[in-house]
Amino acid sequence: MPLCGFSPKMLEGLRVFQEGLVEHGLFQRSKETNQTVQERLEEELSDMGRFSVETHRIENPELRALTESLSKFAQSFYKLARKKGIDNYKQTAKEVNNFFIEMDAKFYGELQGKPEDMKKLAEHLNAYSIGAH
Amino acid sequence: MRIALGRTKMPICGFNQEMVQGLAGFHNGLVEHGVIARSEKKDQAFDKTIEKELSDMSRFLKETYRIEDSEMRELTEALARYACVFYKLVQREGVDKYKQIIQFLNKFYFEMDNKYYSELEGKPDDMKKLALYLNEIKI
Repeated sequence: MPLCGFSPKMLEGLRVFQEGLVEHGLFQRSKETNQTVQERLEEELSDMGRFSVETHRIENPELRALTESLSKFAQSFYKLARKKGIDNYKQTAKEVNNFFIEMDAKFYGELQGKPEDMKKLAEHLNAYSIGAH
Repeated sequence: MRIALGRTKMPICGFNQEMVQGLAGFHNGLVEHGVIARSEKKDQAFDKTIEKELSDMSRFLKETYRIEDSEMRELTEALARYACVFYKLVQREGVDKYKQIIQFLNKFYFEMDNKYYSELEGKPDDMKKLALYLNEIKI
Protein backbone atom coordinates (compact mmCIF):
# COMPACT_ATOMS: atom_id res chain seq x y z
CA MET A 1 0.00 0.00 0.00
CA PRO A 2 1.18 3.55 -0.51
CA LEU A 3 1.55 3.83 3.22
CA CYS A 4 4.16 1.08 3.20
CA GLY A 5 2.36 -2.21 2.72
CA PHE A 6 0.33 -3.35 5.69
CA SER A 7 1.26 -6.43 7.69
CA PRO A 8 -0.96 -8.27 10.21
CA LYS A 9 1.17 -6.86 13.03
CA MET A 10 0.52 -3.31 11.87
CA LEU A 11 -3.20 -3.88 11.49
CA GLU A 12 -3.43 -5.46 14.93
CA GLY A 13 -1.54 -2.51 16.40
CA LEU A 14 -3.92 -0.07 14.74
CA ARG A 15 -6.95 -2.02 15.96
CA VAL A 16 -5.70 -1.98 19.54
CA PHE A 17 -4.93 1.73 19.31
CA GLN A 18 -8.34 2.64 17.90
CA GLU A 19 -10.24 0.53 20.42
CA GLY A 20 -8.13 1.99 23.23
CA LEU A 21 -9.11 5.49 22.15
CA VAL A 22 -12.69 4.63 23.01
CA GLU A 23 -12.28 2.16 25.87
CA HIS A 24 -9.74 4.19 27.80
CA GLY A 25 -10.10 7.67 26.39
CA LEU A 26 -13.88 7.73 26.65
CA PHE A 27 -15.42 4.86 28.64
CA GLN A 28 -12.92 4.72 31.47
CA ARG A 29 -12.26 8.45 31.64
CA SER A 30 -15.93 9.36 31.65
CA LYS A 31 -16.32 7.20 34.75
CA GLU A 32 -13.33 8.84 36.41
CA THR A 33 -14.59 12.33 35.67
CA ASN A 34 -18.27 11.54 36.24
CA GLN A 35 -19.20 12.66 32.73
CA THR A 36 -21.27 11.09 30.02
CA VAL A 37 -19.35 9.43 27.22
CA GLN A 38 -20.59 12.13 24.88
CA GLU A 39 -19.34 14.89 27.19
CA ARG A 40 -16.00 13.13 27.48
CA LEU A 41 -15.75 12.84 23.71
CA GLU A 42 -16.39 16.54 23.21
CA GLU A 43 -13.82 17.43 25.86
CA GLU A 44 -11.20 15.17 24.27
CA LEU A 45 -11.80 16.83 20.91
CA SER A 46 -11.56 20.24 22.55
CA ASP A 47 -8.31 19.31 24.33
CA MET A 48 -6.79 18.01 21.11
CA GLY A 49 -7.87 21.17 19.32
CA ARG A 50 -6.22 23.34 21.97
CA PHE A 51 -3.08 21.20 21.87
CA SER A 52 -2.84 21.43 18.08
CA VAL A 53 -2.60 25.23 18.38
CA GLU A 54 0.51 24.87 20.55
CA THR A 55 2.43 22.05 18.87
CA HIS A 56 4.35 24.52 16.70
CA ARG A 57 6.42 25.05 19.86
CA ILE A 58 7.88 21.53 19.63
CA GLU A 59 11.29 22.24 18.13
CA ASN A 60 12.25 18.79 16.83
CA PRO A 61 10.53 18.67 13.43
CA GLU A 62 10.03 14.89 13.40
CA LEU A 63 8.62 14.75 16.92
CA ARG A 64 6.38 17.72 16.16
CA ALA A 65 5.06 16.07 13.00
CA LEU A 66 4.57 12.68 14.69
CA THR A 67 2.67 14.29 17.56
CA GLU A 68 0.49 16.30 15.21
CA SER A 69 -0.26 13.33 12.95
CA LEU A 70 -1.09 11.03 15.83
CA SER A 71 -3.33 13.65 17.39
CA LYS A 72 -5.05 14.19 14.05
CA PHE A 73 -5.60 10.45 13.64
CA ALA A 74 -7.16 10.27 17.11
CA GLN A 75 -9.37 13.28 16.41
CA SER A 76 -10.55 11.80 13.12
CA PHE A 77 -11.28 8.44 14.69
CA TYR A 78 -13.31 10.07 17.44
CA LYS A 79 -15.33 11.99 14.85
CA LEU A 80 -15.93 8.80 12.88
CA ALA A 81 -16.87 6.86 16.01
CA ARG A 82 -19.30 9.64 16.96
CA LYS A 83 -20.91 9.46 13.52
CA LYS A 84 -21.16 5.67 13.53
CA GLY A 85 -22.31 5.45 17.15
CA ILE A 86 -19.85 5.09 20.01
CA ASP A 87 -21.19 1.67 20.99
CA ASN A 88 -20.24 0.40 17.53
CA TYR A 89 -16.58 1.37 18.01
CA LYS A 90 -15.18 -2.15 17.54
CA GLN A 91 -16.96 -2.49 14.22
CA THR A 92 -15.82 0.99 13.24
CA ALA A 93 -12.18 0.12 14.02
CA LYS A 94 -12.57 -3.07 11.98
CA GLU A 95 -14.00 -1.15 9.05
CA VAL A 96 -11.18 1.40 9.16
CA ASN A 97 -8.69 -1.46 9.01
CA ASN A 98 -10.62 -3.02 6.13
CA PHE A 99 -10.42 0.31 4.32
CA PHE A 100 -6.63 0.24 4.64
CA ILE A 101 -6.53 -3.43 3.57
CA GLU A 102 -8.53 -2.54 0.48
CA MET A 103 -6.18 0.36 -0.25
CA ASP A 104 -3.25 -2.01 0.01
CA ALA A 105 -4.82 -4.69 -2.17
CA LYS A 106 -5.88 -2.25 -4.88
CA PHE A 107 -2.49 -0.57 -5.06
CA TYR A 108 -0.26 -3.63 -5.01
CA GLY A 109 -2.66 -5.91 -6.82
CA GLU A 110 -3.55 -3.64 -9.70
CA LEU A 111 -2.34 -0.05 -9.79
CA GLN A 112 1.30 0.07 -8.77
CA GLY A 113 3.51 1.38 -11.54
CA LYS A 114 0.63 2.35 -13.82
CA PRO A 115 -0.06 5.92 -14.98
CA GLU A 116 -1.94 8.00 -12.42
CA ASP A 117 -1.79 5.12 -9.94
CA MET A 118 -2.32 7.32 -6.88
CA LYS A 119 -5.14 9.33 -8.41
CA LYS A 120 -6.93 6.11 -9.37
CA LEU A 121 -6.32 4.71 -5.90
CA ALA A 122 -7.86 7.73 -4.17
CA GLU A 123 -10.85 7.63 -6.49
CA HIS A 124 -11.26 3.89 -5.95
CA LEU A 125 -11.54 4.49 -2.22
CA ASN A 126 -14.71 6.51 -2.80
CA ALA A 127 -16.35 3.38 -4.12
CA TYR A 128 -15.25 1.54 -1.00
CA SER A 129 -17.26 3.47 1.53
CA ILE A 130 -16.91 2.45 5.13
CA GLY A 131 -19.81 0.47 6.48
CA ALA A 132 -20.64 -1.04 3.10
CA HIS A 133 -18.33 -4.04 3.54
CA MET B 1 11.85 -1.32 28.08
CA ARG B 2 8.39 -1.64 29.58
CA ILE B 3 6.41 1.42 30.44
CA ALA B 4 3.72 1.14 33.05
CA LEU B 5 1.17 3.82 32.41
CA GLY B 6 -0.65 4.40 35.65
CA ARG B 7 -2.85 7.14 34.22
CA THR B 8 -4.98 6.60 31.19
CA LYS B 9 -5.35 9.97 29.55
CA MET B 10 -3.39 12.38 27.44
CA PRO B 11 -4.02 15.45 25.34
CA ILE B 12 -4.00 13.48 22.16
CA CYS B 13 -6.57 10.94 23.29
CA GLY B 14 -6.14 8.99 26.50
CA PHE B 15 -3.23 6.59 26.39
CA ASN B 16 -2.71 3.34 28.22
CA GLN B 17 -0.25 0.48 28.06
CA GLU B 18 -2.22 -1.44 25.44
CA MET B 19 -2.42 1.56 23.14
CA VAL B 20 1.31 2.19 23.44
CA GLN B 21 1.94 -1.48 22.62
CA GLY B 22 -0.47 -1.22 19.70
CA LEU B 23 1.47 1.73 18.34
CA ALA B 24 4.72 -0.16 18.92
CA GLY B 25 3.32 -3.00 16.81
CA PHE B 26 2.50 -0.54 14.07
CA HIS B 27 5.99 0.98 14.29
CA ASN B 28 7.64 -2.44 14.22
CA GLY B 29 5.63 -3.42 11.17
CA LEU B 30 6.55 -0.25 9.32
CA VAL B 31 10.21 -1.19 9.59
CA GLU B 32 10.18 -4.99 9.60
CA HIS B 33 7.59 -5.38 6.86
CA GLY B 34 7.81 -2.08 4.99
CA VAL B 35 11.59 -1.73 4.93
CA ILE B 36 13.54 -4.83 5.95
CA ALA B 37 11.41 -7.55 4.35
CA ARG B 38 10.78 -5.46 1.24
CA SER B 39 14.48 -4.65 0.84
CA GLU B 40 15.34 -8.33 1.07
CA LYS B 41 12.62 -9.24 -1.41
CA LYS B 42 13.82 -6.65 -3.92
CA ASP B 43 17.49 -7.10 -3.08
CA GLN B 44 17.96 -3.39 -2.52
CA ALA B 45 19.42 -1.21 0.23
CA PHE B 46 17.24 -0.05 3.14
CA ASP B 47 17.78 3.59 2.15
CA LYS B 48 16.52 2.95 -1.35
CA THR B 49 13.40 1.20 -0.04
CA ILE B 50 12.68 4.04 2.35
CA GLU B 51 13.14 6.61 -0.43
CA LYS B 52 10.67 4.70 -2.60
CA GLU B 53 8.14 4.49 0.22
CA LEU B 54 8.50 8.20 0.96
CA SER B 55 8.07 9.00 -2.71
CA ASP B 56 4.95 6.81 -2.98
CA MET B 57 3.40 8.32 0.14
CA SER B 58 4.16 11.84 -1.02
CA ARG B 59 2.51 11.15 -4.39
CA PHE B 60 -0.45 9.60 -2.62
CA LEU B 61 -0.87 12.58 -0.29
CA LYS B 62 -1.21 14.83 -3.33
CA GLU B 63 -4.24 12.80 -4.41
CA THR B 64 -6.02 12.12 -1.13
CA TYR B 65 -8.16 15.26 -1.49
CA ARG B 66 -10.16 13.11 -3.90
CA ILE B 67 -11.40 10.91 -1.02
CA GLU B 68 -14.84 12.30 -0.39
CA ASP B 69 -15.57 10.88 3.06
CA SER B 70 -14.01 13.53 5.29
CA GLU B 71 -13.23 11.29 8.27
CA MET B 72 -11.68 8.57 6.12
CA ARG B 73 -9.71 11.18 4.20
CA GLU B 74 -8.39 12.65 7.46
CA LEU B 75 -7.57 9.22 8.91
CA THR B 76 -5.74 8.19 5.75
CA GLU B 77 -3.79 11.43 5.53
CA ALA B 78 -2.88 11.40 9.21
CA LEU B 79 -1.65 7.81 9.02
CA ALA B 80 0.31 8.43 5.83
CA ARG B 81 1.93 11.54 7.30
CA TYR B 82 2.73 9.65 10.50
CA ALA B 83 4.35 6.82 8.53
CA CYS B 84 6.33 9.32 6.42
CA VAL B 85 7.77 11.08 9.44
CA PHE B 86 8.52 7.81 11.21
CA TYR B 87 10.44 6.61 8.15
CA LYS B 88 12.40 9.88 8.01
CA LEU B 89 13.29 9.44 11.66
CA VAL B 90 14.38 5.84 11.10
CA GLN B 91 16.36 6.86 8.02
CA ARG B 92 18.16 9.60 9.92
CA GLU B 93 18.94 7.51 13.00
CA GLY B 94 19.64 4.29 11.11
CA VAL B 95 17.43 1.30 10.36
CA ASP B 96 19.53 -0.84 12.71
CA LYS B 97 18.40 1.41 15.58
CA TYR B 98 14.68 1.09 14.93
CA LYS B 99 13.93 -0.73 18.17
CA GLN B 100 15.56 2.06 20.18
CA ILE B 101 13.55 4.62 18.22
CA ILE B 102 10.33 2.78 19.04
CA GLN B 103 11.32 2.66 22.70
CA PHE B 104 12.02 6.37 22.61
CA LEU B 105 8.61 7.11 21.11
CA ASN B 106 6.95 5.01 23.81
CA LYS B 107 8.79 7.12 26.37
CA PHE B 108 7.94 10.36 24.57
CA TYR B 109 4.20 9.60 24.56
CA PHE B 110 4.35 8.43 28.17
CA GLU B 111 6.10 11.62 29.29
CA MET B 112 3.52 13.73 27.44
CA ASP B 113 0.75 11.93 29.28
CA ASN B 114 2.45 12.05 32.65
CA LYS B 115 3.35 15.74 32.47
CA TYR B 116 -0.10 16.80 31.44
CA TYR B 117 -2.13 14.85 33.95
CA SER B 118 0.21 14.94 36.91
CA GLU B 119 1.02 18.64 36.67
CA LEU B 120 -0.52 20.77 33.94
CA GLU B 121 -4.15 19.80 33.46
CA GLY B 122 -6.52 22.65 34.20
CA LYS B 123 -3.76 25.22 34.73
CA PRO B 124 -3.36 28.38 32.65
CA ASP B 125 -1.51 27.79 29.38
CA ASP B 126 -1.50 24.04 30.03
CA MET B 127 -1.09 23.06 26.39
CA LYS B 128 1.56 25.69 25.70
CA LYS B 129 3.56 24.48 28.69
CA LEU B 130 3.13 20.89 27.58
CA ALA B 131 4.45 21.60 24.09
CA LEU B 132 7.44 23.45 25.55
CA TYR B 133 8.09 20.60 28.00
CA LEU B 134 8.34 18.14 25.12
CA ASN B 135 11.46 19.98 23.95
CA GLU B 136 13.21 18.68 27.06
CA ILE B 137 12.79 15.06 25.92
CA LYS B 138 15.70 14.43 23.60
CA ILE B 139 15.99 11.58 21.17
